[in-house]
Amino acid sequence: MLGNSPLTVLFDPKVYCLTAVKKAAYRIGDRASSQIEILPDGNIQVVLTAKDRLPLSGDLLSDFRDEVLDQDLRETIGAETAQIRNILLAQAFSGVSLTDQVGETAEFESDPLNIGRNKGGDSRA
Amino acid sequence: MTRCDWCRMLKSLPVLNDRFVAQESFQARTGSRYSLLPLRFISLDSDRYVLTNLAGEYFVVPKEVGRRFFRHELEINSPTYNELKARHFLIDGDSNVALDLLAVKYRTKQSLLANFTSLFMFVVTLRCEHSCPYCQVSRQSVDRHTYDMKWSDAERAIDFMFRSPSPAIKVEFQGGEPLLNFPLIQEIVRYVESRNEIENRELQFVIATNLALLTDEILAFCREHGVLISTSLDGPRELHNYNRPRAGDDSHELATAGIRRVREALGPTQIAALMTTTESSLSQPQEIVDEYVRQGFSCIFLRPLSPYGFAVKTGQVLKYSMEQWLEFYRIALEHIIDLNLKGVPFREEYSSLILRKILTPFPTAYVDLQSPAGIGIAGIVFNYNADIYASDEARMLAETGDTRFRLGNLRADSFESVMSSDVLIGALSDSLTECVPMCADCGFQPYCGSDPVFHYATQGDVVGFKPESDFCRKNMEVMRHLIQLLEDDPRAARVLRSWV
Repeated sequence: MLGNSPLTVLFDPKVYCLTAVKKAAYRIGDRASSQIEILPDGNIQVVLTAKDRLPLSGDLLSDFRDEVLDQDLRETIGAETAQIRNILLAQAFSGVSLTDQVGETAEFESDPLNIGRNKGGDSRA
Repeated sequence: MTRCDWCRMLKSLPVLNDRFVAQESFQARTGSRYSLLPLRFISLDSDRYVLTNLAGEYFVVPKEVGRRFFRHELEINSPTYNELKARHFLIDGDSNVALDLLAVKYRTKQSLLANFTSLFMFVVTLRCEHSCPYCQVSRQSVDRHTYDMKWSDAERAIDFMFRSPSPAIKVEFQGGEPLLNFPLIQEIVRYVESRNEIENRELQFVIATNLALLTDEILAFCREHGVLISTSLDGPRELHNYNRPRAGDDSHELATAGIRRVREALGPTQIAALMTTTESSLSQPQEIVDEYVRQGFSCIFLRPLSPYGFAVKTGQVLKYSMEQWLEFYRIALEHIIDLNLKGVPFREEYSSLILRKILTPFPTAYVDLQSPAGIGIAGIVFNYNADIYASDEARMLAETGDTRFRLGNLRADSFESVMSSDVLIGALSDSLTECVPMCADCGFQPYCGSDPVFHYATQGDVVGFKPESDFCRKNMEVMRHLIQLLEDDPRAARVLRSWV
């Protein structure tokens, strides 16, 4: 138990993004309310205040730190996969193939993917 | 022939060498030559993540392995790498085809949306001869016929229903106790069948009844028209009669006798039962399951109380917490798994729905586990007074005076105006879990859904504050528990997989 007074946590913005800190604060919103500020030195300050007059516990603090790390990873993954996610969603609901347009639309007899040929020439008799 | 001979022979075949990547490509290597595919993750416990992809496939990894994977530090062609690749969590130069497969799986998951609304609930009366304190629909006493649906409104409802493009249509008769207005049910069934000679839809009729008023004439009609029965069974006699009081204190006797008669008249699979968990149920999870087995059912649907109607007025919903219900669920599920291991085939239906989402690419039609929410687009309710509601819960809320989810009235509104109304479109667009705070990042998002009516009823907002949402708490813990069983308990996993 850490008592009833608010708890202050600092995050270095070079390590954690602000969005991740906000999402983590939202995630623990059933247990604590959060005041988030950017300090003059650029650090992200979060002041956690326990809800329902329950004392803040070390568990909450460690859960919050873990959650910030997870949320930061999610932000990284989300940014890295945004483009491919958009292609996949478009592919899923469009009538044509966006990932393999030639293979999807060409006549099979023209064999655009060289299924019946090797690079050296036509293997068909 | 030696291995070298094989290699020489393979190299001499130009067609094969065009098709297969060189052996060196399959050797383990570490590096950044893979790309992540869209994925979410969540803690399964303190040491492990559950990873889920766009199509709902899942994979459990130690947290440290997960972090290495996210940072592109995973050893290429290691067993974990190959599993992640096979389950569409990553893509590399060898697996471009995975994008097509993943898109097809995602489209399959969303395929229910194409058929649009297929479930239509007719509240043929609000009257009921039971007086259950947890009643979610605020029933009326037996003599108050003003709470019966009129034929002219039922006719309008049928016209409305056939405007739906769905090739399959399910008509469910609700109450109150719908058998108190059985003549209207007969008229509706006959008229729907006659209309269907031209419409040619796949029809199904269900009566949701407590069976207390069941007669041979009703059974004969059901047999003739293929009507299914859905009933309520809360557990052993004492618990059931305590939960579901009626004059004579004989609800359980009438229900179980009715179940036997329905099976004899219509067939053993033509009846299903639902239970509701009250405070009194919490201490009897095994006994409730055993009662279902004793009554010849092959499954049970474990449900907490819904926060609507008399359940709110009488304070029933406040009598236990979601944590208590989850403990009840875990004990009941453990008992069900034990029964299966002893040779008694029996399922828990809510778990089965979620397992289907976890273990297959196929969707479920269950309203609460859809995104966008199932309101309106999975089911529509025609109330006794011709009002149209987005879901059964929406009309339950309306019976306590809040008509927030009233979509229109059969006497004034068309299918087109109702289905494109701001009330419905607004709630649906707000309910997309892909965009909702906390849900958007949740590892269980592909399996979960949205319930705007629940959140509006409990928090005054259709989206709701998820950290304090019992809907969220329930689904996350059920999903976490099922995945833990699949991963850590081979005997339980074998049983759970057999339910899909």
